[in-house]
Amino acid sequence: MKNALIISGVFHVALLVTAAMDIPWFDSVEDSEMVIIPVEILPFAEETKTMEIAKLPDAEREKPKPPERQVERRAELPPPPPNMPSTMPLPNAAEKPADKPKTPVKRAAAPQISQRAKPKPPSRYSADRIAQLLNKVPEKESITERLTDRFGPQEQQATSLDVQRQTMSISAAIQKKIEDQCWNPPSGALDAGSLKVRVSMYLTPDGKLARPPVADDYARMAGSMKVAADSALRAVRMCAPYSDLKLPQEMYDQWREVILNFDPSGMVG
Amino acid sequence: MKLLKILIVSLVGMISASLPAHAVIEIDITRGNVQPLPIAITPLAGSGDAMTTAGSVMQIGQQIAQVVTADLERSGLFSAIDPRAFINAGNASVAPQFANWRAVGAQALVTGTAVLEEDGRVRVEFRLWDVLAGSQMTGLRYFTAPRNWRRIAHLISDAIYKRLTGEDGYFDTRIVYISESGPYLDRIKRLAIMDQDGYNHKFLTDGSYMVLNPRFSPTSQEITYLSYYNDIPRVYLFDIETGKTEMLGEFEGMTFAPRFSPDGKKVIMSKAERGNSDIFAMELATRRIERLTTHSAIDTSPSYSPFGRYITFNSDRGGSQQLYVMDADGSNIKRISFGTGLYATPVWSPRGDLIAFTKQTGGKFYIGVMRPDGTGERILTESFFEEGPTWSPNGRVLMYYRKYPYDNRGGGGDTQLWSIDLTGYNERQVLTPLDGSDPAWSPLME
Repeated sequence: MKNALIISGVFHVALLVTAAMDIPWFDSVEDSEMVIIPVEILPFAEETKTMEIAKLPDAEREKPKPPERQVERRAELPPPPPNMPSTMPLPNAAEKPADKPKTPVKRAAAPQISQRAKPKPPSRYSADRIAQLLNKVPEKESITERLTDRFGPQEQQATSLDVQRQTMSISAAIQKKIEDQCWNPPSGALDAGSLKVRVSMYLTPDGKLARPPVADDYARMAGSMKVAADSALRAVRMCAPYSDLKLPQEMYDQWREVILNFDPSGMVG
Repeated sequence: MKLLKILIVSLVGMISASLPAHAVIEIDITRGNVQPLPIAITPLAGSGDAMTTAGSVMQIGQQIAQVVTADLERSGLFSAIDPRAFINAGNASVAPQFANWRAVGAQALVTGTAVLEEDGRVRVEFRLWDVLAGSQMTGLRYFTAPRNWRRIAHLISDAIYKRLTGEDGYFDTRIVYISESGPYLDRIKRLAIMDQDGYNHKFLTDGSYMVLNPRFSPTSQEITYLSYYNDIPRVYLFDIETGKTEMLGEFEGMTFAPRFSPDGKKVIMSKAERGNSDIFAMELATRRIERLTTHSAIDTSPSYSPFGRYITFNSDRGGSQQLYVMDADGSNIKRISFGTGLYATPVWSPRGDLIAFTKQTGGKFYIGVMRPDGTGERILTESFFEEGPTWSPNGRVLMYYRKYPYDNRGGGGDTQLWSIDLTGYNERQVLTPLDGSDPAWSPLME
């Protein structure tokens, strides 16, 4: 009874502390105008200075890190890709490594779920302001140019909108490379239009695959769905390394893991 | 102490859970380039010089690789890498050196062995590898009499095709067709059969009487055809395995052979009575005939949907020859073709999504497909004269025949078999020893 009371008390205290720190209505109105810039930008500045940041435990700021580090460490262990277990009934030494992957597949799922959370509500900005900011950037400017501007010698006032803008150009660069050079979509299957595949791609700071890409639910897939997943995974591998895109090191945290939604429905008549 | 731990854990847990997680970029990939998949097919290695009744095991291994290469290339979905580019093809019994295969641009790799067993059979194994992932995608083992190596090759092609496209293959199949020879006024027409790639060609009739419209049963290695033996049109049922021929009946006014129902138990046909042609179905076991249409117009060329619920046919009941769909009992007739020109020989795809047809307009013939509701009409090929589409069992390829114009000297009029896939890009002639017309594609063999 006593224990239960104490445990209950502990939870209540924890809840209050959490609420005080995070629930929006405890924030002052001014907060939204101040745009919490430092919170958003500091991690990038730090990562720019030192690459080891990814390995440092930083439980205070980033909760999802522990599972992620696990994934990275384990990724080096199994040499064969985890997502293609051998189905071969024949005995052969070559297949043995294929048994290992089962675990990494499961592990991969965990970080994905926790990382889907959106970092900041973009709704704090008016549509006009966004349009204004976007208009300043000519469309043809390369990512690197933009980044030189952004992280160049003159320190500029950064907002999370800049980050958003750069995230968009990182996305566009990866999308263009995979669409133009690497994806050979499954064609002609009866249900080709519905074969949507979600793939997680893990990159090292120099743009290589940190570990094999993983398609959601791959283990349960069969038939044309599996074929579609294979084509997506092939595309991710074919396109690697992504070093030619010169993705901004400062923002490695943003593209360390990329989720790719392969959707051939627009290509099927 | 324990309480303190709980306190700390819960505090840290709740606080960190409430902090923003780092963002993950999410990208939609909606475009790509549909291209043949580069595949490397190595000759099957094995017990080298051991002789079989069909050549050395090594030869068999090489020939199997060649047949698999030809099958996959002909599908248009794969491009085989020239074996001369291979870097150290290596030993088939260990994992391949994927870097070497990646270097030559291969995305898929086939390795395998052929070994002579003590009982005189050949054991054939193959593995399909994902070169980029460095993992095995499938692997199978077969035992067979050496002379059957060609079928093993087609079975391997089917397994590779299925694993890489998600659809059943169609390589372990046969084609029956009408072999034609002689001048066009005195054409000799013989029933002939061959593997889907043109090998193992055989004549089934001697040419002393005319045969027309062979049709495969979708469930067994049986065909029906229309024969004018003694100038009387009769429908015959021919069992390819046993070579046995059986007469289904004499049908006055019949100009096309019947087609089987999907379960192989019925045939459906058009029959003219007093100058008017209607659609009838006949149960094979009882020979009971049921009339399905009653109309003063000409109804012909019926074909069942894959589950036998519907029938497509052509009719001029609307004023010109168009395609119609009705329920299997003859009710609920709906016109589905509305384009310009005349439509004929509708054939329902084995996978149900499309109906293939012959179209005639502007002095030319076309082979096309449309959905069973008449939407999405797509023309795949055109020429001076072509007709008689037949589907591959997986519903991705059509075979048909093409006829060339006659010349002034009584020549010309050659007929050839052609195939095209649903993309409309991969059109190929199917080589036959003599002229060929009226092809019919078998189901996958068992």
